[in-house]
Amino acid sequence: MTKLVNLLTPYEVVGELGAKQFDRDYLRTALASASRQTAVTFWLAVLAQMGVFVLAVFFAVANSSDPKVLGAVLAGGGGGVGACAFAMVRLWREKVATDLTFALVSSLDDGAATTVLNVVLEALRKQQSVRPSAPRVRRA
Amino acid sequence: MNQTNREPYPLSAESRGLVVKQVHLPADCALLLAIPLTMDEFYSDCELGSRKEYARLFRAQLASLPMSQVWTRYERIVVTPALHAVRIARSRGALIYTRASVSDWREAVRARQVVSLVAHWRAAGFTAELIRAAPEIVTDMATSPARVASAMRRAVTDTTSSASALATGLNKALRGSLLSPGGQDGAVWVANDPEQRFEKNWQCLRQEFPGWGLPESGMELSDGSLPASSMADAFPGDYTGTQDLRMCHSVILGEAIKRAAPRSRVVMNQRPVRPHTQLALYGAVLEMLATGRYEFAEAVLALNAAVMRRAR
Repeated sequence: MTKLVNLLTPYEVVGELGAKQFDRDYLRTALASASRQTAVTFWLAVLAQMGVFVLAVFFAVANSSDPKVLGAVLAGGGGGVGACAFAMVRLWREKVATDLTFALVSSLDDGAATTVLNVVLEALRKQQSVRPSAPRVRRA
Repeated sequence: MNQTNREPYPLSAESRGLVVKQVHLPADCALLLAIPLTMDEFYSDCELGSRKEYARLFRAQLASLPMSQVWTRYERIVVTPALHAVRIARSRGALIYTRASVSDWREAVRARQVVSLVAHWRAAGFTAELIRAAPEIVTDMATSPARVASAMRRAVTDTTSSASALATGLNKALRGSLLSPGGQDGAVWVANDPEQRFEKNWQCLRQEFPGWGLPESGMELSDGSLPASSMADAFPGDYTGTQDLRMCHSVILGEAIKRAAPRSRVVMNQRPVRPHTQLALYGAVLEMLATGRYEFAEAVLALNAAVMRRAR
């Protein structure tokens, strides 16, 4: 979400000591471009995942007689696929958030659009700063 | 007997061409804040009849939020850093004016060598409402033989577009180049600034077409808005103090002050200014001055350079 946060930061209401123009056209162009880039990166992640999977299968078949190597290949392949899946989920969430912001910016008037952008920005920042909580201990 | 002892009226260091480093202490400074700093002030400034732009703009940008949330945000972004800077300045012996008026500012200019002003700059410009309220703007622009009008005609080819698009096009044209020759008028130009060009062109339009009712840009103080020319009139020609203008595009006012008082030092900027950054920097500048080794403008430059280095 860093890219979206960077895009929205100039539109944050920070009480500048002078009039500030809301440049809707620029923001729309930037959001559309960011969405396209995220989509491309997402499909690259899909390809990478498939590649990792195919390589893992290839090495697994090639070393099927050696259980030690086979275990390492499957663990490595599984880890790679998992990392790619994690990246894909993040990219997809970023793309959805960017597309939604684009739709809101296009349909709302200046005041409402600025408010929405600030709310979205605040939510994204909170999301970024959230640290994984400690595992809960279930008590009997 | 040496040469210097024979001089009945020794020349000042400045006359000899020597540079004497002046030192400012926090007690030489005054800080004026002309923005609302309490909830009552903010709420009253947000009312339609208040004729105050700063609070209303802040409110308008967050129009969809309830007023209490707007205030909470304003308090966090503007009020808290402002009060922190006030506490630092007061503890260091600087003179403080909150809700500063024109008379406060004049008094501060007389009382202290360095005057820092945190205020809102009311920028002029065409708006859709202005164009709708004065339809003669479009007709005059299309028919007037005045040089300014023909320059505007060239800049905006389609005068049948919406009022909003027309306003945007006209404002862009005003920032582009000087519409009238000789507009520089011996002024101290700061890095060919588009906001300065805009201001010159706007003044030109106001003179040429008084019937359009174009509003004047100016600095918003607690008792009204003052144009740059009126602000500059407060300075005697031999004024040698330092003006620290912490507002958006302060080159416009800064240039007017330099023209009225050429020996003054003016700390100004070409960019929009965020109060929380500026006020934090102001506190740091006072801490630097307290060491007794800096002149105010020098401290500001040194601090900005350090911040830029760190940002890289």
